[in-house]
Amino acid sequence: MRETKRRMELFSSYDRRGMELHMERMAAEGWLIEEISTFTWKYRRIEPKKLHFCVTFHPDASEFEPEPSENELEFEEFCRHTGWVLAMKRASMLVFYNERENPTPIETEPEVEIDAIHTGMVKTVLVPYLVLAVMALVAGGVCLFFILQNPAVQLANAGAAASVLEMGALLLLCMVEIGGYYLWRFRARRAAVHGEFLESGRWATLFQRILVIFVILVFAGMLVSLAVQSGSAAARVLLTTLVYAVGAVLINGVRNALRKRKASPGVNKVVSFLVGFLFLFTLLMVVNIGMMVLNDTVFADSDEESYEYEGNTFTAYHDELPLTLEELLGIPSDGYSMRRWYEGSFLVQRSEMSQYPRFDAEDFREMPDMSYTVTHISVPALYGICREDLLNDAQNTVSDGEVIYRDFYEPVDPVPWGAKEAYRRYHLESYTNQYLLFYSDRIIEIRFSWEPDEQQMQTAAEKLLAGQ
Amino acid sequence: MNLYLYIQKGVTPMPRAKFQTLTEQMFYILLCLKEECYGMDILDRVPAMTENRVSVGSGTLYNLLEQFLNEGFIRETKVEGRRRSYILTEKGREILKKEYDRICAQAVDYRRIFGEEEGQ
Repeated sequence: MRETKRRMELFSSYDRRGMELHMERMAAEGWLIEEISTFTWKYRRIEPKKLHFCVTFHPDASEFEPEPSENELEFEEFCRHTGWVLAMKRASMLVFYNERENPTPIETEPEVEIDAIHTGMVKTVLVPYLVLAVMALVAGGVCLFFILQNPAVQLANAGAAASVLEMGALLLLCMVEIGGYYLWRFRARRAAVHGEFLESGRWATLFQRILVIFVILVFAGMLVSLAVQSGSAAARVLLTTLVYAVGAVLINGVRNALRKRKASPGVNKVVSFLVGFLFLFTLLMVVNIGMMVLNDTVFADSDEESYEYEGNTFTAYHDELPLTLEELLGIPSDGYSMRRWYEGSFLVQRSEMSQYPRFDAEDFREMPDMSYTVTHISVPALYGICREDLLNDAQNTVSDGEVIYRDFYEPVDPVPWGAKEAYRRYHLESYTNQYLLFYSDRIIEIRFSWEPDEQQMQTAAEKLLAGQ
Repeated sequence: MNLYLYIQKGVTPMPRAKFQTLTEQMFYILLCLKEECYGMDILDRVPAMTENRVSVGSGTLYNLLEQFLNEGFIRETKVEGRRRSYILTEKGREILKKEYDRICAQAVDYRRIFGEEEGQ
């Protein structure tokens, strides 16, 4: 029979009443709380009994202090005198239990309780949440900045799109924890004037659970999206996440071990930080190098081949394409490298495809080629910024108010393309054979090495729209 | 008083200045310290003094003793290990007397409204 067990529990940091009721239920089932660590709560087996719990704070208590301070021990003695026994502590949060039937609560004055909680909350919860909020804001802001720079490409990056959502959820979580606590404090002080206690925010726990489920779903969605495109990208994200999770557990372990060995708080903080930093740095390096090896072996594209030309090694691809030169010009695909590259999120999906002659083909310089990208926008609200992004891909270079380098898209007749809008790119001194085509939910960029006729335009559009 | 003031200007919704009036628990804690007393013993003395009508929580007592010390209402007299004893100061006696006068004034007002007999 197991003597201990660990469970993942999710509670808002200031939902003390929710935690107390949960611990009471666990004690009635024969499990007494023993430790709260980074990801789990640890319980030890006891005789099932009715226990009362109290979650409170002491400003001296810390995760880095090797021994409890005299003040803290005095506080514990006061509590013991009225039957309250310390079950566990984490940072400045202390959990007591009491076996008496109707014990005197640890806190009997609401105003005093609110002040005592506040000191502990600021140190243990609010400051870390504030730091986390700033980190989420910076990380999410950087991702958002890059997405806004090049939305058509970046929104198709499952990792980038999921990062913004996850950082946004994390920021929201921090704001709800901090804001929710201050709102509770405001209401609790108002109730305290009338000598009343106000229960802590149970709704915040519910909100936190919903957000965590949302984050897990987004993460799972990102993994599935990546796995569909490339097992390598999914494996990298999974391994990196694992490294961070193990790093968090390791830092916690080092901190606890040093505290047990009576290391000073300063030494403990520095060593825990250094161990965590070195571990993450080394392991992330190992993951990156490992992924490079795996990419060349396990995740290598089976449809590619290497060939030699004038002493150099090149790669030829044999991917299936929705539109080929054979369909437009009747040229067989022999002697060509045909490549398809796909990237997509639940917002935008992008397929980049090309058909280029191999260098070892006879007269490869005379052989026609083409390349095209199809961007499918799943969320109509994002169509506008993707359209602007792709149109702005061509931009004149202006110096002293004078255009010195002409590069722009000019509207052309969309009818041959069956599109809503069509543009042709003008580059330097002449029109190129590069077109930008807008359809209801997708945008096609297509480039030919020759000037296509109307029949070829129509065939290309039909094939590309049918091929998605 | 509204939430806006609280957040924007740090104005708290507590109209009562600290220790301008005493709560029942504050009153009895100070009363216990008329004579030198270990902090922890107050936990038993208050219920005994009030025939179990009033109890003080251990956390509340611990925090209030610290606040009374900071305000100069009590002073530390002895430290034996972690057991510390305290006694009321002149300032503490004054604040206790002020609270007593307030309670008496309330009693006088009550009697004036309801009459002497009913007040007894």
